[in-house]
Amino acid sequence: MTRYVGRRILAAIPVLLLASLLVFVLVRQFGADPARTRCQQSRDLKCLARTRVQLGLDRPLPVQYVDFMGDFVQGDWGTSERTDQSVAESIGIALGETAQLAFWGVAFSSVVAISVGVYSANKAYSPGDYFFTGLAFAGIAMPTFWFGLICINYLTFHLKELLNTNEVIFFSIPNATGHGAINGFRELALPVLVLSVQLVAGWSRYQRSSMLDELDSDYIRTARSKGLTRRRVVWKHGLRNSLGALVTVIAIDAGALFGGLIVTERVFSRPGMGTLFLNALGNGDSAVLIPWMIVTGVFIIIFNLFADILYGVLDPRVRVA
Amino acid sequence: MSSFDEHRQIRESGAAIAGSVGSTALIDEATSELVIVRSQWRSVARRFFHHRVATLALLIFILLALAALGASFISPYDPNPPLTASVLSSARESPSAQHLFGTDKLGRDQLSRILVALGQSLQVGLGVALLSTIIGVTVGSLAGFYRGWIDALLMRFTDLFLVLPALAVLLIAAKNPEPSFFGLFDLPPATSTEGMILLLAALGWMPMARIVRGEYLSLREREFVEAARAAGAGGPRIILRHLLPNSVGPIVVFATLEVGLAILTEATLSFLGAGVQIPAISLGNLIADAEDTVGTDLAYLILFPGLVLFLIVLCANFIGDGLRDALDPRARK
Amino acid sequence: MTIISETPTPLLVVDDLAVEFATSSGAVHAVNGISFTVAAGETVAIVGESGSGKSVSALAIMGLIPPPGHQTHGAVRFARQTLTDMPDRHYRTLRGRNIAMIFQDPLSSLNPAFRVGDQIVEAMTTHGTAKAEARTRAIELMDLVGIANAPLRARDFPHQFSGGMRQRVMIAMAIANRPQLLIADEPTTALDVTIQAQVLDVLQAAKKDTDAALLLITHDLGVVAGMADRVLVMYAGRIIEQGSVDEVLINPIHPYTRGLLAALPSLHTNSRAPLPTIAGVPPNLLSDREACALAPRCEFAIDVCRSSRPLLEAVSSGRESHQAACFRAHDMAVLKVDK
Repeated sequence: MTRYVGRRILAAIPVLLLASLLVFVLVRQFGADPARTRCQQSRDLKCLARTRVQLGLDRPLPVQYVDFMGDFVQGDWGTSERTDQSVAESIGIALGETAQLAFWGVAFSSVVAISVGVYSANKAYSPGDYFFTGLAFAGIAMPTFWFGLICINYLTFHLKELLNTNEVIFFSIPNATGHGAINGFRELALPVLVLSVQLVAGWSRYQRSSMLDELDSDYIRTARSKGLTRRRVVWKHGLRNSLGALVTVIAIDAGALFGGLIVTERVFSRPGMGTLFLNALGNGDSAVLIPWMIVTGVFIIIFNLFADILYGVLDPRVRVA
Repeated sequence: MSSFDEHRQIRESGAAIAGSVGSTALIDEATSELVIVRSQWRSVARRFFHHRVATLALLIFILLALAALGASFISPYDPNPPLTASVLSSARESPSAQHLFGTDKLGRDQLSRILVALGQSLQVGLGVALLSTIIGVTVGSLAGFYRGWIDALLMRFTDLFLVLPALAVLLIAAKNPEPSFFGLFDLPPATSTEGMILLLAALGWMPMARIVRGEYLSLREREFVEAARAAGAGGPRIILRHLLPNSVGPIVVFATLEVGLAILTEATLSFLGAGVQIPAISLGNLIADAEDTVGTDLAYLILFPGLVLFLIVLCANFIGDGLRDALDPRARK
Repeated sequence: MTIISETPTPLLVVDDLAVEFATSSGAVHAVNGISFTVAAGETVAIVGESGSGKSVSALAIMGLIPPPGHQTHGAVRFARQTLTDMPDRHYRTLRGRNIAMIFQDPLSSLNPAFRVGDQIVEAMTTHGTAKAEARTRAIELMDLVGIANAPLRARDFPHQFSGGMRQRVMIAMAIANRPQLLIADEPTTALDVTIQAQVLDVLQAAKKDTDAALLLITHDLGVVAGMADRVLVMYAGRIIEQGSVDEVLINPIHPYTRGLLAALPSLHTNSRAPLPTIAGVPPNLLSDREACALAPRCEFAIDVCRSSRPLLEAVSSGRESHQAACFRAHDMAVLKVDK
């Protein structure tokens, strides 16, 4: 098993390097000029020329890249071009914030998606199934930013009026007062809900589909012939075998969340990776953007690897290979 | 020969034998019974319209498209009027008979604005689907048929983009006011409709390419390809006459889903400020503009544009789903 | 319709069972009114080609007909209880405990994600056995069916076993609760020829150990000869001949049975001449015309065969147990068997 993991990590390194090169080129070529950012967008040619040399921007691109990567892998991620804050620090803090939202989102969505998926497969083509299918389609077509704003409108503001209270029940921005669990819940409830809509929509369809495939298998018939209840057969045998595929998808999607919560964080003003990215983009701060892209890429690769391993754990047939 | 070719031959001989009218006819050898064989596309259409939801979605989609086209007929107001006193005086009006979707803070009629924005979204959606399909099918065909270095390159390339968060890459590229094609020539910026279409297609053709490649890989093992080869057909001929026609199903389905996806992506980008800029209107920037009305009486300024956006994407997805079922009834939902 | 049995109340009674599958082209009559019995401890074989309805009959007894199939009429009775229309929660108590089934493909019929030992244990714990006791018994059963190193092997997964070993596991699972009736649906068809004999021996031993009756479904007449007491021949959803193994295999009456037997090569067969086959193709189960289903393919067919359906009747007044559904049964009886 360790050999398998080792091999996959080794295979991931060239991909990561290539991706970092792509990112570097992308940001330098297409992004804003760092010199201009440092000089506060002024047109002072002297400042621009000076800063260019200072930042080494006059050197050929490959050289810049090697230089940057050299520093990067040693842990020196430089400072922000706008705020002079340590990039590593900013990313670290933002990661924590995003990880929290991602964790609760994935946890909540997994439970809901599996339940809905199994139910839909078990009662396929029933009115209940069609209902959930409709919801799933709605979830996939839902514009996240709009749904977030609608939730805030009704659940933060109108709910207050409806229940005739003074205080807001679900916060739409991070709440500075109090750090207890209740407050945490009230703060995260709406962002997690908005995030979950997307995740549950896709995952429940996937689970339903792979569950339907499994329920057609011969071993299900054998289980019933042994006298197991239909529920037991579905939840013990069917679910266990269909979980492998879904867990893989969940892991992969979870990895993508670290760079994929841009809209949700923006709507709910959460200081995570998404907001960090948007600010850096707005400021033309490539010193932040490039490490940001690399870090999110690393998370995606790590979680993809994690998904592979999980699949091996859940499907014994893969393990021996 | 491809199944389409076979059908054409059967149709021709059947018509000669039975003198068919409309549907094709052919004599069943074993039982000497007259069997009516419908042409493939007709049965696809029949299966599609059997799908009540997909048919309804198609209807709504067409209605919305027509509404966007005929915006000036439906809503006589100017979507971008000069801000005269009379315009400003009708500001902040909730939905009413005169203004079906109300007016915004400056008195502009929402319905007209939404219809114009819808038109823009549809242009982008259809444009991206078309362009990314063309690119994707071309690259995928070459990779799936010739394999070798083209295939390896395609796979490496798509793997690379899988590693990076899609929205982030799009935002970085979209922010560039003067994009160029590797320094060779200038491209329209993402703030224009053409630029947005190019951007989304340039970064969105990869899934289609992989699908086409996958189809070809499984098809090229089939007998009719061997037969074509034995008859002396070269690469392009095999691709165009045999492999491509048999992959039409997945291509059409995916292209349809692309429409909805492109519309959503464009709306998200313009909401975040990286698309058409004011005074141009898009569903995304209409909502962004109205963000501060959350919790107020003016919240309908957010509700209606979003509802239209949601509806058009939903319809596109249902149409895609209906097509998937119609083109391969054996596939499970 | 006389039901012949040797003991006063047979263990299993199938009475005019019919099963249909609803398809877009119409109803497929998979089983078209069959009746037979199985006595306690007896081995009855059902022989037929693919599509003859034998597997569906077995599933009907277990109450596990897959949709879109359903039983349209007839009844199945087991130990005086009527299984037809029995509510599932009651049926469940019989499945795996009083009636157990062994399926054809042990690789797909065993859950790939669970250990083999656990799957055998599950058969017992489902019916109330305590876990610890079930564990010990599972090892015993694996020993009984001839799996070496049972304690170790119980922790393995199905894909880690060979085909023959997997089938032994299925047999162990089936006899775990000492059922009165074992149904084996083509237990050796998916296995190598060399392994088939071994597995059949195991099955025989298992049956002996539990004193169970065995309903053996197969298309292999050699298997029938070796193991069965009585045999039923099915064609197009109906029983067209039945009797003791001696009666049917030595003196086959129905042209179909004769055809099956003639197609079997033996030591005396001329190796240079082509093997005889039954001309034509199996019938379309969508239609249900009033005629003998074999008529289009039968070299002995006469006019009445094409206009009415023959009933299953005793071949001669002396031998009530041997029955065939053929208008020309008497002619066929005197026809010499070419062997």
